[in-house]
Amino acid sequence: MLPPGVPCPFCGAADTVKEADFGTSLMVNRQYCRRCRSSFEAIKWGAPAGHLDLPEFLKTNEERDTSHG
Amino acid sequence: MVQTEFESLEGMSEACARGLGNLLWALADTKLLLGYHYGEWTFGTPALEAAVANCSLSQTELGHVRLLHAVLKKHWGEDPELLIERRPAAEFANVTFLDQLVEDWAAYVAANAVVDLAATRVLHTLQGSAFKPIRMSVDKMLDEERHHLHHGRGWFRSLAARSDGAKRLAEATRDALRAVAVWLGPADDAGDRALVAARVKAASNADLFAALTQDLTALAREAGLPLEPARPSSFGGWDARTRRMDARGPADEIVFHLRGSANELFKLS
Repeated sequence: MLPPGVPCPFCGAADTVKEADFGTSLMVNRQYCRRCRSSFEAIKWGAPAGHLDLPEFLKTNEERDTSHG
Repeated sequence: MVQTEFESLEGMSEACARGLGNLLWALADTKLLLGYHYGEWTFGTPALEAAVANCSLSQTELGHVRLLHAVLKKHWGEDPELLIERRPAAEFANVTFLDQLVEDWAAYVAANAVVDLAATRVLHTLQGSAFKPIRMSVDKMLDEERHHLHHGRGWFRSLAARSDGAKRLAEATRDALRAVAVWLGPADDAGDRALVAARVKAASNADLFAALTQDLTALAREAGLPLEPARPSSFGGWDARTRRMDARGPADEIVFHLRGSANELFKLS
């Protein structure tokens, strides 16, 4: 079974799975949303889709809330 | 009584006006050199995506230079043409890590993850600045810098995880951090004290370096890379204008390319 994917950029659902390690370029992988049935690409480097890998001072309040739990 | 907002330099103390001019000059120079080096690294990257990213990173840094030069021109009477085309290398106030060619990918990553971070930290202290002309521009620049740091941190993690990249990355990070510590300046700089007192800048040089090292040690710890940041034991010879302890500047080759001297013939009249 594939591990859970990243939040869907179309509907926001967390019910997504990684379909492939690579998308249209090396830096992304392909994800599939089981709720809205959309395929999308997510940037790698361990950061969830839609969230940049940033030091605390550059994060938005929403990003801080997400990273703290 | 501290004036709450400055539309121009009018009403600002001489120390504060000079300190702010120096700071913006140093920011612009560091961004100019970052833009140059990012531009140089649009070839030879480990992945094609990094080359494309560097093209964008370079353009945004040079865009920030234009913006900062416009502020320096309007309020300090600086001539942007002169700042780039006719200034001696010894007058550049960039982080010295960028003085020479960025010779390998580890050094590039250090420039992106450490030097760009330092410039962004300085910008961040101007976000709520009492000097309105710069405050109006900072949010836009910070928004773009988020992507720069995301890029730098991603490659930092990636390189730190590689047995053949971690050692060189640790060396480059250490060198970049040392250069940044000098660039940020001594804790007792009069211009810096004046800026903080007038609420033009939110944090002192010492606080900025502490915050920067906190950012970097957290990243290095997560990436499993040893990092022991230290401020210079002495700032002897430190010049507030160039933010250097010696009178050197970027290499002649770099200054030549920044000026585009070879393309002078093709200028539109």
